[in-house]
Amino acid sequence: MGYSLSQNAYLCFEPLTKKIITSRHVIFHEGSFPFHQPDHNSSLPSPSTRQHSSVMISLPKLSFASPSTSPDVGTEVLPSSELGSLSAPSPLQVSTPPSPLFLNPNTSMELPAPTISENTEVRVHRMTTRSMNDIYKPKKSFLVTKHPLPSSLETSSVAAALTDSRWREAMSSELTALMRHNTWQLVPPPTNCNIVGCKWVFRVKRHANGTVDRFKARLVAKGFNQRSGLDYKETFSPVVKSVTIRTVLAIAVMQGWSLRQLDVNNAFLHGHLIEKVYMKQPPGFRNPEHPDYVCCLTKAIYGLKKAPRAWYSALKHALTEFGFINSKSDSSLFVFHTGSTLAYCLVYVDDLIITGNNSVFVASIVDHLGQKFSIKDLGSLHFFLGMEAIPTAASLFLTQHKYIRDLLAKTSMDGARDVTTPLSTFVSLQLDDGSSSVNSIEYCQVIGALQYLSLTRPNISFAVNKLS
Amino acid sequence: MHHPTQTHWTATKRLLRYLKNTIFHGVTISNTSSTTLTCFSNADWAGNLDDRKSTSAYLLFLGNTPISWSSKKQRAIARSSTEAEYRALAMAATESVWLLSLLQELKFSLSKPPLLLCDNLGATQLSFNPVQHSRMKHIQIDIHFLRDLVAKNILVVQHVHTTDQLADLLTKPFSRQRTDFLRDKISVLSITVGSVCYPCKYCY
Repeated sequence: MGYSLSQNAYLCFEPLTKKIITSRHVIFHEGSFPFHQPDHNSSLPSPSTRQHSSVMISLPKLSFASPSTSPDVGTEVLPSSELGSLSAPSPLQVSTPPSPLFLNPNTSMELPAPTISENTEVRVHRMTTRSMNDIYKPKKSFLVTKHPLPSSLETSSVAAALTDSRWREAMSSELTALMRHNTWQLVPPPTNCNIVGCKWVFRVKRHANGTVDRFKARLVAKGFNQRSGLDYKETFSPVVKSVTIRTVLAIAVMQGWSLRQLDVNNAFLHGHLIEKVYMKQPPGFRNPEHPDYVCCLTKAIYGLKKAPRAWYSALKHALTEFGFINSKSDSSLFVFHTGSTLAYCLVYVDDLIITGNNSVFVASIVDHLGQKFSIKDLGSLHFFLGMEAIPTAASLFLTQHKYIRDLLAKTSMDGARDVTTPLSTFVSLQLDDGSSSVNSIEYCQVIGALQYLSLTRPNISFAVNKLS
Repeated sequence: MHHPTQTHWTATKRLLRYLKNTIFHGVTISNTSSTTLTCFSNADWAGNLDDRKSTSAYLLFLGNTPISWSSKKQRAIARSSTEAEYRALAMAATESVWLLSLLQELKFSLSKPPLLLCDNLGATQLSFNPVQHSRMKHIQIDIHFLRDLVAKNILVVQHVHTTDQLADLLTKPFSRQRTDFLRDKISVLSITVGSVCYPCKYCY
């Protein structure tokens, strides 16, 4: 009939003595269903009326062997009365009301006595699982994490976020930033234009130890609805080449210049849009006077296809105004050269590295940029593009050990044995070598992750290239 | 890449194990006073067993700092090792020319023209000998491209012995001793801060 709730044993119903027995030694006869009746009205034998249960669960029509056969089939049946106080609650616990086990007497399978009957065509047997009996056990693997993250904090629905004061605050601060930059004007909806939607993205920013830093809400446009040629023409993202980074760093270290790192807040909001882009009003913050109006964007907003390009041209304009010249070899490099003053500026989307032979001049650039954009001065260079820069006595050391550690953890290789060479000298890699194929998506992900390591590791580039 | 097999996966895991062993290794940018551009160029002839294509590789140093490197399978099949080496040399020359223009924009002057080092005598001599070889007549564009640069004294091509060929590491697998020797030569080291090893500093 099920599991005993107090012991590690089965609950059995002894049809002849009409007692409920708790036993661990049970043999299942899968083919026979002693309580099966096609016209049986499934009634609940209430435990308080245990005496009546013999009436309700009418004895099966199937042929029963005599009770004396139970020892023959190897079952040790202990009447519940003999089990003492331990099994005493079991008749009561059986009462847990509408358990499907009891609603359906067909499912009682562990009767010790019945022999295999001829009535084998009966297929009403249903498996009773623990979940059907509302017995759940949380999975252990989900319980144990290094930083227990309450997943309920981050939400995707605006309605849920609006009820939370912390999210409301984050959303209103984002809207204030958008308003401060005059990001849009409310206009009546145009008839022949593509209107992009927008949504809120909610993120909980955490410290390294897992505690909550702040709640961040960002309004993003659904730029994937924009069509090339109609809504936008050219896209571009200022991404500096790794060779350029190393060259500039090498020159700066050789000359003993200091390296400054800057971070631009809300970088894309500084970009001016040339094309007309219409966006729906942000969900949850509609203008009560003109609820059907749309936002005509004047500034680039996250998610738009043009946003990185607009930001790049805004930054380029600011730097050229100051006297920088955009490099032809790498468009993300800006060089300032007047008289004896020399300064370089590297751009990686919203991260900037500035260095030069005149530290007063570099400080004035930082001030100038601070007036134009809202920037965060991160001081001297230490962490850029997942690459850690450690200054030593006579050199600068670039390493990606955090990235490697994350990669090893992701591929669960952090406990593997060490080897001393990247590639085996005797195993030849061929396209079809007869061994079984593996999941190519996972393989591609790992190889792609390894390719990013080429920022600081020339010695593995052959191995990565060979494997890809 | 499209149909990776168990062997490939094992090799990838070996690479990850190597990375685990050398997790704190990285490029050292040293402040030497030498302002030279040195490029090691190398090729592994017909190294790919599937289509017998060669691998070309280069490793470019500014002073002692490795700043640019690449290891790539060649697109056309080379019929001789000289041909493969020459193609690699042409690729290294392309990168050197780009870096020259970058350095010019950075107002950084080199003390002498970039030096290309190749461990194949035939390819080295082909870069400045105006001789038309019958076996080389099908790689005309690469030959003329490099020969032109050498004639204008934009680049210098020299021979280097195989044992000093640092770009070897980017074309074929080696034994532990050779791997470690070359790795130290190209200033990929484990960091030491002061006299303390970097990992110990954070006590991982």
